[in-house]
Amino acid sequence: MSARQPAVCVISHAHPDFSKGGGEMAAYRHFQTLAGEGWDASFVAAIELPNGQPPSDRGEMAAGYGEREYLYAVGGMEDDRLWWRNPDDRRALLRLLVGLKADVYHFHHYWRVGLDLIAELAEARPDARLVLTLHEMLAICSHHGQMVRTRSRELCRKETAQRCLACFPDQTLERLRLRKAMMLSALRRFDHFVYPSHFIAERYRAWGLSPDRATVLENYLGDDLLAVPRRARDSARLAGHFAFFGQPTEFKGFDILIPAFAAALKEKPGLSLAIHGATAEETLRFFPGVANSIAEAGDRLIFSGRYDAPEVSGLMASAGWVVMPSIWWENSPVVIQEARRLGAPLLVSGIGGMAEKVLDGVDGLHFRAGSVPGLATALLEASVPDIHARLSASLRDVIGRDEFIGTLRRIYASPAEAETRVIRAA
Amino acid sequence: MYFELGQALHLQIDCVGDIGPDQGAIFGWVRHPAGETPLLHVAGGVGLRLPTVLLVLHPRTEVELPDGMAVSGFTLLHDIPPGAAGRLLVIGLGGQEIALDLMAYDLPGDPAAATIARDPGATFQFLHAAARDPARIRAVPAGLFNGWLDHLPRRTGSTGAFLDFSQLSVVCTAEGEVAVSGSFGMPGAAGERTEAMACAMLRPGDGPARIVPLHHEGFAPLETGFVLRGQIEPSLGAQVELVVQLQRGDHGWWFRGEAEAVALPGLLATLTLAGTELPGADAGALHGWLKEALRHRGEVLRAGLCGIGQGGGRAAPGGTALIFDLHDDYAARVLSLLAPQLETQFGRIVIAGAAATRAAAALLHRGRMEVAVEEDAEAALALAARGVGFVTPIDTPALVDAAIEGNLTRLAGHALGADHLAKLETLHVVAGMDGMEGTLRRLMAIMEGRDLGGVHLPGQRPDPIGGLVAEHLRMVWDMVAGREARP
Repeated sequence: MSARQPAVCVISHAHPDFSKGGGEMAAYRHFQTLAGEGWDASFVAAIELPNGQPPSDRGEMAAGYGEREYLYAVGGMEDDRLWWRNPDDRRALLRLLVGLKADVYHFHHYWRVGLDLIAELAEARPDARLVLTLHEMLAICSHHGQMVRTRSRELCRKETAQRCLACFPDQTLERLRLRKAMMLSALRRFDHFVYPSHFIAERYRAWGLSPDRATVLENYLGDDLLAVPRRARDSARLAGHFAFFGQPTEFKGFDILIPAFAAALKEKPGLSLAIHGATAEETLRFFPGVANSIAEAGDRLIFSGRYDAPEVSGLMASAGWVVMPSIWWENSPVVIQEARRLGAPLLVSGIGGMAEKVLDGVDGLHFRAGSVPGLATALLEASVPDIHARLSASLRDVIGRDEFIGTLRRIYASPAEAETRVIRAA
Repeated sequence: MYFELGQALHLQIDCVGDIGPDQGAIFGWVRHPAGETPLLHVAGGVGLRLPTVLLVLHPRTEVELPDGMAVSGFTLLHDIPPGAAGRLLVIGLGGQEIALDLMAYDLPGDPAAATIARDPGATFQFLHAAARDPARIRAVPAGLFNGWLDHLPRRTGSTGAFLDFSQLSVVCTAEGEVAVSGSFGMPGAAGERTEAMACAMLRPGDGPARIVPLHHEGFAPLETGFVLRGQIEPSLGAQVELVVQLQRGDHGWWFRGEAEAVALPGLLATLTLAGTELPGADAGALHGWLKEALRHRGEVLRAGLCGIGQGGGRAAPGGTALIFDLHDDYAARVLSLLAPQLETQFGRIVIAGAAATRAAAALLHRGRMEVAVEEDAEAALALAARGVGFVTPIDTPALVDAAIEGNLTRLAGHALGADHLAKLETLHVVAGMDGMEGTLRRLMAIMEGRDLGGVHLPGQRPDPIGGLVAEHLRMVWDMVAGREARP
């Protein structure tokens, strides 16, 4: 291994100052962690300002944003944000990246980055290593990368052009295959892929990306959360208290969780559920069918509205369990990592990234995805203090800073030095 | 002029004249006892028989016909050797010969004028025969038929009503396959079937017109319509007209039809009377004729097509990539992403399709290979063929396959050399059903060993005639693939 740490440029589809998605949060923590270790790290993120304004008051499409941080405008991209319509903008971004003289360009997305930009950078800097962390499955699935059938909400287990055509009947087989060819042709320019879960790694392997240049590496939660001491939980007090963290979007399972809780409550009136990230009004706007269940739950169901990341520690400390009832796969949910870090066992749908990150009987309990009775049963089972105590004790912590940095160092090593390893299973 | 050469031998001479310095023509009719055939020739003097170039007999229905008599119109063409001073018409009948000194009378002497005035069936027969043997019958170069042809009804433009026909189609392909078909606006007598004959007039640019015969000429014996096909030598840039004779019972039609330049689907539509509802008897007759006509067509094409699809070789670096169907913006993106690999395999790329310009812009900016854009696959193929070295046709599905597999070397596996390229255009004309793009795609499928059994044939009719056409096309493409089971 070289004594000098490689200069790393982290490229993200967004900056956490402007949006709080899991991918950009992971990218920024990645940058901060490297910088904190004293590496020569930089962070380049896409931004869409009002009225298509560039981030520079001089009209340039890219601008500095704090120390070693840069923002670039994506107004010159095609509507799908996968390709640059304006080659001058693309070349300006390329000049910025090349000018950073990084040894490693580590992307956290290709959306709002541009497949053509990636190809051009690979040619402009053949001596640099290009690494991509794949947080989602947009390359595989046109349905927002969720691998959920468009017409039935049925989970999709395999991509084929014919199956995709059934989801998108206005497309053609040729166009769907072209999309795949386009994605693969661009992604194969990367020297290495990082997956935050085995689940997503397997999906990309089945889709056509070679597993030989891939590492499964959990996202790093950041020094602040890693520094929070993990305290023993009072199972007798907390076992019946459940919490949900997230937005009321279509696939988060609100229409499973709330009726299941209402059903469980009839059996055990002492249970409680706090929903963090949504108000009752927002929830009803997306899921009007849960109105009766909300009424039945009464004051045992609390909607606490939006929360900021720093509040998570406190909110999870007051929860006995964190519930994730998503009806889509979830690739590597940060909520699960946060709960494991903070010592809250989990109730999760037994599929995809949730099933992988929460081992049944170790980190929490599984229930059948999409099943109201299944979740109701799990809620009742979880509310038993002994079970809570046992799973709180066996709950695994998340990846630490040293392991995260060490793995990245191996990934960033030159091909001759590189050693492909699967680092963590969960 | 009318001559009674005996009680039962009467002669009418309509015209005696020369059609050049060494050939003469005599038109007229002979009335003679029924059951006997008059034998006609010309002598240059007593005992000096002049070679007969052509003797055609034809009906003369307008001539009065007493009981026991028959009448034969005739067209007699003869050589005039040097020194043949006289001109005797010799008629042999019942073992006796009677000679008439033609120079002793003031007979009409302008054959060109006579062709206009006489029975059009006789003139057409003469023309048809002259077209078939231009070396021997020098009537066409002499301009004998020009006046008659100028007087014929002439159809220009595409399909539609004309004369007594509710629909008429005259077509010619780039390979010289010609056809005329149509349907009558009025029904004929029951059982009367149409006989059709034609020859072609080629008018190359500003040069004089040539009359050429139709090889493999044949017609479908239909009652309510007519179909005729034939083959002429491909004549690049020449305007093609068919001179057509139709006879149904006592009725005859003679006309000129400007042939529409069509690809194979247009030819097949004309041969199958597409869009015309045929009564059962005609449908059966057309089916029977078409089956044989297409079988014959297959036989004719066999030598030229056999195994074209088997010859592709691996392209050496530096040849031309021909991407002929780049219509989708995603395809342009894929091409751009694959540019570095393509540049190692090809020195030149020719692109056609709706997204070609966009794809080309990205490649041109790189400046590492010669890039050309053409409007359609046909033009792109022509341009690609003008380069040096192999041409590798690549369609979008092949590009996609290679990109998904991550193996672009497979694209270079089916390159076409100069000999293949020369045959490709012919292949498209005789077997292409949906543009050069479709032809190239099928050829690539064959080269890659894919089964064409399920290949959709555009515009296929659901009736037995449609089945015949589909079967024929399958056979033709099987020939291309070199896997046709010979009959």
